[in-house]
Amino acid sequence: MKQEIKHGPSFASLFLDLEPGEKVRTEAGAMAGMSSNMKISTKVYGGFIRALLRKLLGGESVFQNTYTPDGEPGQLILSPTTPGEIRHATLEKGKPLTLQASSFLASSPDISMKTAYGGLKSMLSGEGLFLLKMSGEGDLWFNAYGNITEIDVDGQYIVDTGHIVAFEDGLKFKVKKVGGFKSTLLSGEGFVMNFSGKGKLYIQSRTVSSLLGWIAPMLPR
Amino acid sequence: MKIEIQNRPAYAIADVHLEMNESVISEGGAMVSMTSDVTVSTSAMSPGGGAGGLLKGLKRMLTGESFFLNKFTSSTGGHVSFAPTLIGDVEHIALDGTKNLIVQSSSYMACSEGLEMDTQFGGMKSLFSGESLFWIKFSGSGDLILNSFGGIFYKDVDGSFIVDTGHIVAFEDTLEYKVKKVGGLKATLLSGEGLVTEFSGKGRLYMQTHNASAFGRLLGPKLPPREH
Repeated sequence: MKQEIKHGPSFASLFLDLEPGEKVRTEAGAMAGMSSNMKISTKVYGGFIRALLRKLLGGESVFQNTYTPDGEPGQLILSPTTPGEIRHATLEKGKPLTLQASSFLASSPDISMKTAYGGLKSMLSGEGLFLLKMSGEGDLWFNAYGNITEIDVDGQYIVDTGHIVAFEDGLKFKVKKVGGFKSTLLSGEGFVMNFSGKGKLYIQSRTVSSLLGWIAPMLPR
Repeated sequence: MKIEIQNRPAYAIADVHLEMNESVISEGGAMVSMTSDVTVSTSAMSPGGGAGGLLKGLKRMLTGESFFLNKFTSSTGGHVSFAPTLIGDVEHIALDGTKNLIVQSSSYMACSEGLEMDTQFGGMKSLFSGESLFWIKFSGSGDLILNSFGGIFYKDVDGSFIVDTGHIVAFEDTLEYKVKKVGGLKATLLSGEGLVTEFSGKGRLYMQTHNASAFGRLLGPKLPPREH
Protein backbone atom coordinates (compact mmCIF):
# COMPACT_ATOMS: atom_id res chain seq x y z
CA MET A 1 0.00 0.00 0.00
CA LYS A 2 1.19 3.47 -0.84
CA GLN A 3 -0.26 6.35 1.15
CA GLU A 4 -0.09 10.10 0.64
CA ILE A 5 -1.85 12.92 2.47
CA LYS A 6 -2.33 15.78 -0.01
CA HIS A 7 -3.81 19.31 0.13
CA GLY A 8 -3.05 19.58 3.88
CA PRO A 9 -3.27 21.09 6.34
CA SER A 10 -6.42 23.02 5.37
CA PHE A 11 -7.99 20.50 3.00
CA ALA A 12 -6.14 17.27 3.70
CA SER A 13 -7.29 14.23 1.74
CA LEU A 14 -5.89 10.72 1.89
CA PHE A 15 -4.77 9.05 -1.35
CA LEU A 16 -4.24 5.29 -1.02
CA ASP A 17 -2.90 2.95 -3.70
CA LEU A 18 -3.95 -0.57 -2.77
CA GLU A 19 -2.68 -3.89 -4.11
CA PRO A 20 -5.19 -6.69 -4.76
CA GLY A 21 -6.05 -8.33 -1.43
CA GLU A 22 -5.15 -5.23 0.62
CA LYS A 23 -8.05 -3.83 2.61
CA VAL A 24 -8.84 -0.49 4.23
CA ARG A 25 -11.70 0.28 6.58
CA THR A 26 -13.18 3.77 6.38
CA GLU A 27 -15.70 6.06 7.97
CA ALA A 28 -19.05 5.95 6.14
CA GLY A 29 -19.30 8.58 3.43
CA ALA A 30 -15.55 9.36 3.36
CA MET A 31 -14.96 8.10 -0.19
CA ALA A 32 -14.37 10.98 -2.62
CA GLY A 33 -13.20 8.88 -5.55
CA MET A 34 -11.94 5.40 -6.41
CA SER A 35 -10.90 3.07 -9.20
CA SER A 36 -13.83 1.21 -10.66
CA ASN A 37 -12.41 -2.20 -9.62
CA MET A 38 -12.74 -1.26 -5.93
CA LYS A 39 -15.11 -3.53 -3.99
CA ILE A 40 -17.01 -2.20 -0.98
CA SER A 41 -18.54 -4.01 1.99
CA THR A 42 -20.50 -2.31 4.77
CA LYS A 43 -20.60 -3.38 8.43
CA VAL A 44 -21.39 -2.17 11.94
CA TYR A 45 -18.30 -1.56 14.05
CA GLY A 46 -17.71 -0.89 17.72
CA GLY A 47 -20.64 -3.07 18.87
CA PHE A 48 -24.19 -2.67 17.55
CA ILE A 49 -25.84 -1.15 20.65
CA ARG A 50 -22.94 1.21 21.30
CA ALA A 51 -22.81 2.16 17.63
CA LEU A 52 -26.53 2.90 17.76
CA LEU A 53 -26.08 5.07 20.86
CA ARG A 54 -23.23 6.82 19.09
CA LYS A 55 -25.59 7.55 16.22
CA LEU A 56 -28.52 8.69 18.38
CA LEU A 57 -26.58 10.82 20.83
CA GLY A 58 -23.49 11.85 18.97
CA GLY A 59 -24.72 11.87 15.37
CA GLU A 60 -21.88 9.60 14.32
CA SER A 61 -22.34 6.90 11.72
CA VAL A 62 -23.17 3.34 12.73
CA PHE A 63 -21.63 1.79 9.64
CA GLN A 64 -18.15 1.58 8.25
CA ASN A 65 -16.95 0.44 4.85
CA THR A 66 -14.13 -1.88 3.86
CA TYR A 67 -12.59 -1.34 0.42
CA THR A 68 -10.38 -3.73 -1.52
CA PRO A 69 -9.33 -3.67 -5.18
CA ASP A 70 -10.41 -6.61 -7.31
CA GLY A 71 -7.88 -8.26 -9.64
CA GLU A 72 -5.49 -5.34 -10.13
CA PRO A 73 -4.19 -2.43 -8.01
CA GLY A 74 -6.63 0.37 -7.32
CA GLN A 75 -6.78 3.88 -5.90
CA LEU A 76 -8.99 5.13 -3.09
CA ILE A 77 -9.35 8.84 -2.25
CA LEU A 78 -10.75 9.63 1.21
CA SER A 79 -11.88 13.05 2.46
CA PRO A 80 -13.17 14.05 5.88
CA THR A 81 -16.46 15.98 6.14
CA THR A 82 -14.81 19.03 7.73
CA PRO A 83 -11.91 21.00 6.25
CA GLY A 84 -8.72 20.34 8.19
CA GLU A 85 -5.71 18.17 8.82
CA ILE A 86 -5.22 14.38 8.60
CA ARG A 87 -2.63 12.47 10.65
CA HIS A 88 -1.35 8.94 10.26
CA ALA A 89 -0.45 6.77 13.26
CA THR A 90 1.10 3.31 13.30
CA LEU A 91 -0.56 1.38 16.10
CA GLU A 92 1.52 -1.18 17.98
CA LYS A 93 0.43 -3.97 20.28
CA GLY A 94 -0.38 -2.66 23.76
CA LYS A 95 -0.32 0.97 22.56
CA PRO A 96 -3.90 1.89 21.68
CA LEU A 97 -5.02 5.36 20.69
CA THR A 98 -8.36 6.81 21.73
CA LEU A 99 -10.10 9.03 19.14
CA GLN A 100 -12.94 11.46 19.46
CA ALA A 101 -15.55 9.58 17.34
CA SER A 102 -15.84 12.04 14.46
CA SER A 103 -12.03 12.05 14.07
CA PHE A 104 -11.91 8.52 12.69
CA LEU A 105 -11.14 8.46 8.95
CA ALA A 106 -9.65 5.05 8.14
CA SER A 107 -7.63 2.14 9.45
CA SER A 108 -6.20 -1.28 8.62
CA PRO A 109 -9.11 -3.75 8.63
CA ASP A 110 -8.03 -5.67 11.74
CA ILE A 111 -7.62 -2.69 14.06
CA SER A 112 -10.24 -3.23 16.74
CA MET A 113 -12.56 -0.45 17.75
CA LYS A 114 -14.44 -0.03 21.02
CA THR A 115 -16.97 2.75 21.68
CA ALA A 116 -16.64 4.59 24.95
CA TYR A 117 -18.39 7.72 26.04
CA GLY A 118 -17.19 10.70 27.97
CA GLY A 119 -19.69 10.42 30.80
CA LEU A 120 -23.06 11.96 31.55
CA LYS A 121 -21.61 15.41 32.09
CA SER A 122 -20.39 15.69 28.51
CA MET A 123 -23.83 14.53 27.31
CA LEU A 124 -25.48 17.31 29.27
CA SER A 125 -23.01 19.82 27.93
CA GLY A 126 -24.43 19.25 24.45
CA GLU A 127 -20.99 18.28 23.19
CA GLY A 128 -21.83 14.55 23.13
CA LEU A 129 -18.38 13.18 23.69
CA PHE A 130 -18.05 9.77 22.11
CA LEU A 131 -14.69 8.12 22.01
CA LEU A 132 -13.35 5.24 19.96
CA LYS A 133 -10.56 3.19 21.45
CA MET A 134 -8.48 1.87 18.57
CA SER A 135 -6.14 -1.01 19.33
CA GLY A 136 -4.13 -3.69 17.55
CA GLU A 137 -1.37 -3.44 14.98
CA GLY A 138 -1.61 -1.47 11.78
CA ASP A 139 -2.37 1.91 10.25
CA LEU A 140 -4.76 4.51 11.54
CA TRP A 141 -5.71 7.82 9.94
CA PHE A 142 -7.60 10.47 11.86
CA ASN A 143 -8.82 13.93 10.93
CA ALA A 144 -9.77 17.21 12.57
CA TYR A 145 -11.62 20.44 11.93
CA GLY A 146 -8.68 22.82 11.55
CA ASN A 147 -5.07 22.00 12.33
CA ILE A 148 -3.87 19.28 14.68
CA THR A 149 -1.44 20.17 17.48
CA GLU A 150 0.48 17.49 19.40
CA ILE A 151 0.99 18.00 23.12
CA ASP A 152 3.27 15.84 25.29
CA VAL A 153 1.52 15.67 28.64
CA ASP A 154 3.41 14.71 31.78
CA GLY A 155 1.26 15.54 34.77
CA GLN A 156 -1.98 17.39 34.17
CA TYR A 157 -3.47 19.21 31.20
CA ILE A 158 -6.90 20.67 30.45
CA VAL A 159 -8.62 20.65 27.02
CA ASP A 160 -12.03 21.98 25.96
CA THR A 161 -14.17 18.91 25.08
CA GLY A 162 -14.83 20.26 21.57
CA HIS A 163 -11.11 20.50 20.77
CA ILE A 164 -10.10 16.94 21.61
CA VAL A 165 -8.97 14.75 18.69
CA ALA A 166 -7.02 11.83 20.18
CA PHE A 167 -4.91 10.71 23.12
CA GLU A 168 -2.59 7.90 24.07
CA ASP A 169 -3.38 5.23 26.64
CA GLY A 170 -1.05 6.61 29.33
CA LEU A 171 -3.54 9.45 29.80
CA LYS A 172 -6.68 9.26 31.92
CA PHE A 173 -9.29 12.01 31.93
CA LYS A 174 -12.19 13.41 33.89
CA VAL A 175 -14.88 15.63 32.37
CA LYS A 176 -15.44 18.60 34.60
CA LYS A 177 -16.76 22.12 34.66
CA VAL A 178 -14.30 24.88 34.16
CA GLY A 179 -13.85 26.83 37.39
CA GLY A 180 -16.88 27.51 39.53
CA PHE A 181 -20.57 27.59 38.61
CA LYS A 182 -20.38 31.20 37.46
CA SER A 183 -17.52 30.69 35.03
CA THR A 184 -19.15 27.49 33.67
CA LEU A 185 -22.20 29.52 32.70
CA LEU A 186 -20.51 32.72 31.63
CA SER A 187 -17.00 31.89 30.41
CA GLY A 188 -18.20 30.26 27.19
CA GLU A 189 -16.02 27.28 28.01
CA GLY A 190 -18.55 24.88 29.59
CA PHE A 191 -17.03 21.44 30.05
CA VAL A 192 -13.39 20.53 29.80
CA MET A 193 -11.41 17.31 29.91
CA ASN A 194 -8.87 17.20 32.66
CA PHE A 195 -6.09 14.81 31.58
CA SER A 196 -3.56 13.27 33.88
CA GLY A 197 -0.67 10.86 33.37
CA LYS A 198 1.94 10.68 30.66
CA GLY A 199 1.33 10.49 26.95
CA LYS A 200 0.61 12.31 23.74
CA LEU A 201 -2.53 14.38 23.23
CA TYR A 202 -3.82 15.68 19.87
CA ILE A 203 -6.06 18.73 19.76
CA GLN A 204 -7.79 20.58 16.89
CA SER A 205 -7.61 24.32 16.31
CA ARG A 206 -11.36 24.78 15.57
CA THR A 207 -14.61 23.19 16.76
CA VAL A 208 -17.81 22.51 14.85
CA SER A 209 -19.88 23.46 17.90
CA SER A 210 -18.44 26.99 17.98
CA LEU A 211 -19.17 27.39 14.27
CA LEU A 212 -22.77 26.30 14.93
CA GLY A 213 -22.98 28.63 17.91
CA TRP A 214 -21.93 31.50 15.71
CA ILE A 215 -24.29 30.73 12.79
CA ALA A 216 -27.42 29.82 14.77
CA PRO A 217 -28.34 33.32 16.04
CA MET A 218 -28.05 34.66 12.48
CA LEU A 219 -30.63 32.32 10.96
CA PRO A 220 -33.86 33.99 9.82
CA ARG A 221 -36.87 33.60 12.04
CA MET B 1 -7.63 39.27 -20.15
CA LYS B 2 -5.05 38.24 -17.59
CA ILE B 3 -6.05 36.13 -14.62
CA GLU B 4 -4.08 35.88 -11.38
CA ILE B 5 -5.15 33.69 -8.50
CA GLN B 6 -4.05 34.83 -5.05
CA ASN B 7 -4.13 33.25 -1.58
CA ARG B 8 -4.31 29.66 -2.74
CA PRO B 9 -5.56 27.22 -1.73
CA ALA B 10 -7.62 28.00 1.39
CA TYR B 11 -8.79 31.55 0.68
CA ALA B 12 -8.28 31.84 -3.06
CA ILE B 13 -9.44 34.92 -4.92
CA ALA B 14 -9.28 35.60 -8.69
CA ASP B 15 -7.89 38.90 -10.00
CA VAL B 16 -9.06 39.53 -13.55
CA HIS B 17 -7.15 42.23 -15.46
CA LEU B 18 -9.19 43.59 -18.36
CA GLU B 19 -8.11 45.39 -21.54
CA MET B 20 -9.94 48.50 -22.67
CA ASN B 21 -13.61 47.58 -23.49
CA GLU B 22 -13.09 43.99 -22.45
CA SER B 23 -15.70 42.19 -20.29
CA VAL B 24 -15.82 39.38 -17.80
CA ILE B 25 -19.03 37.57 -16.82
CA SER B 26 -19.65 36.30 -13.31
CA GLU B 27 -22.07 34.51 -11.05
CA GLY B 28 -24.04 36.99 -8.91
CA GLY B 29 -22.46 37.94 -5.60
CA ALA B 30 -18.90 36.89 -6.48
CA MET B 31 -17.42 40.39 -7.04
CA VAL B 32 -15.07 41.55 -4.28
CA SER B 33 -13.50 44.72 -5.66
CA MET B 34 -12.90 46.56 -8.93
CA THR B 35 -11.34 49.67 -10.39
CA SER B 36 -13.69 52.62 -10.89
CA ASP B 37 -13.67 52.46 -14.70
CA VAL B 38 -15.57 49.15 -14.58
CA THR B 39 -19.32 49.22 -15.19
CA VAL B 40 -21.73 46.40 -14.31
CA SER B 41 -24.73 45.25 -16.28
CA THR B 42 -27.02 42.47 -15.11
CA SER B 43 -29.05 40.30 -17.45
CA ALA B 44 -30.28 36.82 -18.19
CA MET B 45 -27.81 36.65 -21.07
CA SER B 46 -25.63 33.89 -22.26
CA PRO B 47 -21.98 34.95 -22.12
CA GLY B 48 -21.73 34.27 -25.86
CA GLY B 49 -24.44 36.87 -26.40
CA GLY B 50 -27.09 36.50 -29.09
CA ALA B 51 -30.66 35.30 -28.79
CA GLY B 52 -32.11 32.90 -26.27
CA GLY B 53 -30.94 34.86 -23.25
CA LEU B 54 -34.23 34.58 -21.41
CA LEU B 55 -34.54 30.84 -22.02
CA LYS B 56 -30.94 30.31 -20.99
CA GLY B 57 -31.57 32.29 -17.82
CA LEU B 58 -34.54 30.09 -16.99
CA LYS B 59 -32.56 26.96 -17.70
CA ARG B 60 -29.74 28.24 -15.52
CA MET B 61 -32.20 28.51 -12.63
CA LEU B 62 -32.70 24.75 -12.91
CA THR B 63 -29.04 24.28 -12.03
CA GLY B 64 -29.60 26.09 -8.76
CA GLU B 65 -27.60 29.03 -10.09
CA SER B 66 -28.88 32.54 -10.37
CA PHE B 67 -31.18 33.53 -13.27
CA PHE B 68 -28.98 36.56 -13.80
CA LEU B 69 -25.33 36.91 -14.64
CA ASN B 70 -23.27 40.04 -14.14
CA LYS B 71 -21.15 41.53 -16.90
CA PHE B 72 -18.22 43.71 -15.85
CA THR B 73 -16.80 45.95 -18.59
CA SER B 74 -13.69 48.07 -18.26
CA SER B 75 -13.66 51.36 -20.19
CA THR B 76 -9.96 52.13 -19.84
CA GLY B 77 -8.35 48.84 -18.79
CA GLY B 78 -8.78 47.88 -15.14
CA HIS B 79 -9.39 44.92 -12.94
CA VAL B 80 -12.13 43.04 -11.09
CA SER B 81 -11.59 40.47 -8.37
CA PHE B 82 -13.91 37.59 -7.51
CA ALA B 83 -14.19 35.28 -4.51
CA PRO B 84 -16.32 32.19 -3.86
CA THR B 85 -18.70 31.82 -0.90
CA LEU B 86 -16.99 28.87 0.77
CA ILE B 87 -13.33 28.50 1.73
CA GLY B 88 -11.33 26.74 -0.95
CA ASP B 89 -9.33 26.98 -4.12
CA VAL B 90 -9.93 28.74 -7.44
CA GLU B 91 -8.74 27.38 -10.79
CA HIS B 92 -8.33 29.09 -14.14
CA ILE B 93 -9.00 26.88 -17.15
CA ALA B 94 -8.40 28.14 -20.70
CA LEU B 95 -10.68 26.57 -23.32
CA ASP B 96 -9.38 26.60 -26.90
CA GLY B 97 -12.52 25.43 -28.70
CA THR B 98 -11.33 21.84 -29.19
CA LYS B 99 -12.82 20.51 -25.94
CA ASN B 100 -15.99 21.35 -24.04
CA LEU B 101 -16.08 21.42 -20.26
CA ILE B 102 -19.06 20.32 -18.16
CA VAL B 103 -19.13 22.11 -14.82
CA GLN B 104 -20.98 21.29 -11.62
CA SER B 105 -23.13 24.41 -11.25
CA SER B 106 -21.92 25.66 -7.86
CA SER B 107 -18.29 25.47 -9.08
CA TYR B 108 -18.82 28.18 -11.72
CA MET B 109 -17.48 31.59 -10.70
CA ALA B 110 -16.62 33.65 -13.81
CA CYS B 111 -15.70 33.44 -17.49
CA SER B 112 -14.73 35.54 -20.48
CA GLU B 113 -17.41 36.87 -22.79
CA GLY B 114 -16.60 34.61 -25.71
CA LEU B 115 -17.63 31.36 -24.03
CA GLU B 116 -20.95 29.72 -24.78
CA MET B 117 -22.78 28.52 -21.69
CA ASP B 118 -25.60 26.00 -21.72
CA THR B 119 -27.49 23.85 -19.26
CA GLN B 120 -27.25 20.11 -19.46
CA PHE B 121 -29.53 17.58 -17.80
CA GLY B 122 -27.66 15.13 -15.55
CA GLY B 123 -30.08 12.23 -16.02
CA MET B 124 -32.98 11.02 -13.89
CA LYS B 125 -30.78 9.02 -11.53
CA SER B 126 -28.95 12.12 -10.43
CA LEU B 127 -32.29 13.13 -8.90
CA PHE B 128 -31.59 10.53 -6.22
CA SER B 129 -27.90 11.26 -5.80
CA GLY B 130 -28.68 14.26 -3.61
CA GLU B 131 -26.72 16.59 -5.87
CA SER B 132 -27.75 19.00 -8.60
CA LEU B 133 -29.71 17.55 -11.50
CA PHE B 134 -28.17 19.90 -14.00
CA TRP B 135 -24.70 20.73 -15.24
CA ILE B 136 -23.42 23.80 -17.07
CA LYS B 137 -21.68 23.07 -20.36
CA PHE B 138 -19.04 25.52 -21.60
CA SER B 139 -17.90 25.55 -25.21
CA GLY B 140 -15.97 27.84 -27.52
CA SER B 141 -12.67 29.46 -26.66
CA GLY B 142 -11.96 31.69 -23.69
CA ASP B 143 -11.19 31.70 -20.00
CA LEU B 144 -13.15 29.96 -17.30
CA ILE B 145 -12.71 30.49 -13.54
CA LEU B 146 -13.97 27.75 -11.24
CA ASN B 147 -14.04 27.44 -7.48
CA SER B 148 -14.08 24.48 -5.11
CA PHE B 149 -14.88 23.64 -1.51
CA GLY B 150 -11.38 22.63 -0.42
CA GLY B 151 -8.54 21.99 -2.84
CA ILE B 152 -8.90 21.31 -6.59
CA PHE B 153 -7.04 18.46 -8.25
CA TYR B 154 -7.47 16.65 -11.52
CA LYS B 155 -7.33 13.11 -12.73
CA ASP B 156 -6.70 12.20 -16.35
CA VAL B 157 -9.17 9.36 -16.69
CA ASP B 158 -8.28 6.66 -19.21
CA GLY B 159 -10.62 3.72 -18.67
CA SER B 160 -12.97 4.31 -15.78
CA PHE B 161 -13.06 6.00 -12.39
CA ILE B 162 -15.75 6.38 -9.70
CA VAL B 163 -16.41 9.65 -7.88
CA ASP B 164 -18.72 10.70 -5.09
CA THR B 165 -20.97 13.17 -6.95
CA GLY B 166 -20.39 15.92 -4.36
CA HIS B 167 -16.66 15.93 -5.18
CA ILE B 168 -17.06 16.68 -8.91
CA VAL B 169 -15.97 20.14 -10.05
CA ALA B 170 -15.88 19.71 -13.84
CA PHE B 171 -15.00 17.27 -16.61
CA GLU B 172 -14.22 17.27 -20.31
CA ASP B 173 -17.15 16.11 -22.39
CA THR B 174 -15.05 13.39 -24.00
CA LEU B 175 -15.85 11.51 -20.79
CA GLU B 176 -19.05 9.52 -20.55
CA TYR B 177 -20.71 9.34 -17.16
CA LYS B 178 -23.43 7.40 -15.47
CA VAL B 179 -24.89 7.53 -11.97
CA LYS B 180 -24.82 4.10 -10.35
CA LYS B 181 -25.04 2.26 -7.03
CA VAL B 182 -21.79 2.03 -5.08
CA GLY B 183 -22.08 -1.73 -4.51
CA GLY B 184 -24.80 -4.16 -3.51
CA LEU B 185 -28.09 -3.09 -1.93
CA LYS B 186 -26.65 -3.09 1.60
CA ALA B 187 -23.65 -0.96 0.71
CA THR B 188 -25.84 1.41 -1.31
CA LEU B 189 -28.26 1.97 1.57
CA LEU B 190 -25.90 1.91 4.54
CA SER B 191 -22.39 2.85 3.40
CA GLY B 192 -23.06 6.57 3.40
CA GLU B 193 -21.93 6.57 -0.23
CA GLY B 194 -25.24 5.71 -1.92
CA LEU B 195 -25.15 6.69 -5.56
CA VAL B 196 -21.85 7.57 -7.19
CA THR B 197 -20.85 8.78 -10.66
CA GLU B 198 -18.80 6.48 -12.87
CA PHE B 199 -16.76 8.17 -15.59
CA SER B 200 -15.48 6.26 -18.58
CA GLY B 201 -13.48 7.07 -21.68
CA LYS B 202 -10.57 9.45 -21.87
CA GLY B 203 -10.45 12.99 -20.55
CA ARG B 204 -9.68 15.24 -17.63
CA LEU B 205 -11.77 15.18 -14.47
CA TYR B 206 -11.48 18.04 -11.93
CA MET B 207 -12.34 17.13 -8.34
CA GLN B 208 -12.59 18.99 -5.05
CA THR B 209 -11.15 17.58 -1.82
CA HIS B 210 -14.27 18.39 0.19
CA ASN B 211 -18.00 17.92 -0.25
CA ALA B 212 -20.04 21.05 0.49
CA SER B 213 -23.38 19.28 0.90
CA ALA B 214 -21.84 16.74 3.30
CA PHE B 215 -20.50 19.63 5.39
CA GLY B 216 -23.95 21.26 5.21
CA ARG B 217 -25.62 18.04 6.33
CA LEU B 218 -23.23 17.91 9.30
CA LEU B 219 -24.18 21.41 10.42
CA GLY B 220 -27.85 21.60 9.37
CA PRO B 221 -29.43 19.14 11.83
CA LYS B 222 -27.61 20.83 14.72
CA LEU B 223 -29.04 24.26 13.93
CA PRO B 224 -32.32 25.45 15.44
CA PRO B 225 -35.37 24.87 13.20
CA ARG B 226 -36.62 27.80 11.13
CA GLU B 227 -39.76 29.35 12.49
CA HIS B 228 -42.40 30.59 10.10
